[in-house]
Amino acid sequence: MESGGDATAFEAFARFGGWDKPLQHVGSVRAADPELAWHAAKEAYTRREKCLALWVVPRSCVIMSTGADVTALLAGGRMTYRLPAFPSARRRARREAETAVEAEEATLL
Amino acid sequence: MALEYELDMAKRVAQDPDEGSTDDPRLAKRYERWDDMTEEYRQAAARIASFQCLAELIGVMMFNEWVEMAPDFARKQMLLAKIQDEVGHGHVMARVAEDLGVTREQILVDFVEGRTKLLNIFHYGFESWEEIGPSALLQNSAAIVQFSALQKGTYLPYVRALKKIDKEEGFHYHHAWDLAHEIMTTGTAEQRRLAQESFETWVPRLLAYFGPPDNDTYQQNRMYQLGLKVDSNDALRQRWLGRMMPVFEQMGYHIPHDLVHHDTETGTWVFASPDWVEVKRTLTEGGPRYGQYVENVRRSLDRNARYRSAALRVAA
Repeated sequence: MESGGDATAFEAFARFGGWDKPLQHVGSVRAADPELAWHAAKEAYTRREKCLALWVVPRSCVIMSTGADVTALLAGGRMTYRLPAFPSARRRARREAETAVEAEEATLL
Repeated sequence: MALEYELDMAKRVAQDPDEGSTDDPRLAKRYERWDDMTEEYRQAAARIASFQCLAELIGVMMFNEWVEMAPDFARKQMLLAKIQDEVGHGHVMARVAEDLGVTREQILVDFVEGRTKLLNIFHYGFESWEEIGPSALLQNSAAIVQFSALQKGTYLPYVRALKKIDKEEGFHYHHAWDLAHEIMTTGTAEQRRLAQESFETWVPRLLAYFGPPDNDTYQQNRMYQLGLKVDSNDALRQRWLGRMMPVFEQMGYHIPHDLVHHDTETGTWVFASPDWVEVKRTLTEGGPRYGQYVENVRRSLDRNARYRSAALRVAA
């Protein structure tokens, strides 16, 4: 992670299409003050879309991930127990294991 | 519905037959701003973003002159929208360059002091309203073809900026098409003559815009090797001709055989070679409007210097 630095750079976020849509990052602008930054972002990034909300944030206030964080950010994908397919896969694995044990027991009898 | 149609039309121009093929090893590794990159790569990425920033800002000047001369209010509005879009593109590209260490002031000062070259097509102006439609359509479609290819490039902040820009170029495409079409269908004989003349004047300029013909060593071009230049000049030129010549033909423009024609045997477009000596002279000495555009930027920098430095002092 790193601080965005750069006091006159602002990151712009906008909500497009509906109030149920997330704010998304649309780009950045340079301005000497936050209100001017908001207007610059409005002119550059909300020209035709149905834009319902626009935020600007000084880049220096943003903690940004860098390439070094990507492994940690992707870690969720390795944690299969968080995924929806996990319970059924677990159930199947247990059933297979039980069947195998039963089969083995049968040979012992 | 109408809007979807417009966007679809522009999309067809942009469509790239090779889309989705990522087996080119040059384009496999893509970079974020914070990634380790060689100094050569950083400078090349900064150069391409600065170059495009300048092109966006200077490229509107020829249109700007016509705002007060537009023949009706709706055309004036559409022209203003285009100009504002293009200046916005300049800002977006300036941000990409700034993050790589080139300030926007530097981009403009380098231009004013003659250290950077301007794309050949932006050295000119329009002599008549009728000239604008065909010329703008040729320019926009060439930009769309060029940008669509560059979106497969390796510097991701630049790629994201291009995606935003490309969408708006689609609107300009439609505006230009409408203007070029209107003159051919409802214009007087004299207006149609001017539009046709514009087409024949601007086709060679746009053919030159894609750069010199590929030679055997184009793959040794560093921008190409770094994946900042994606396709060869000739590939882009052929793609553009293939998309746009039928569009102009359908609107009623006459395409002189000597200027451009399709060779059905080889499946390629044959065109009169641009006068490369003249193109080179334009790039080094400046075309008819170059001096005026430089002067516009110089005056703007001078006029705003006090406010800029005051604002930045407050911000610091």
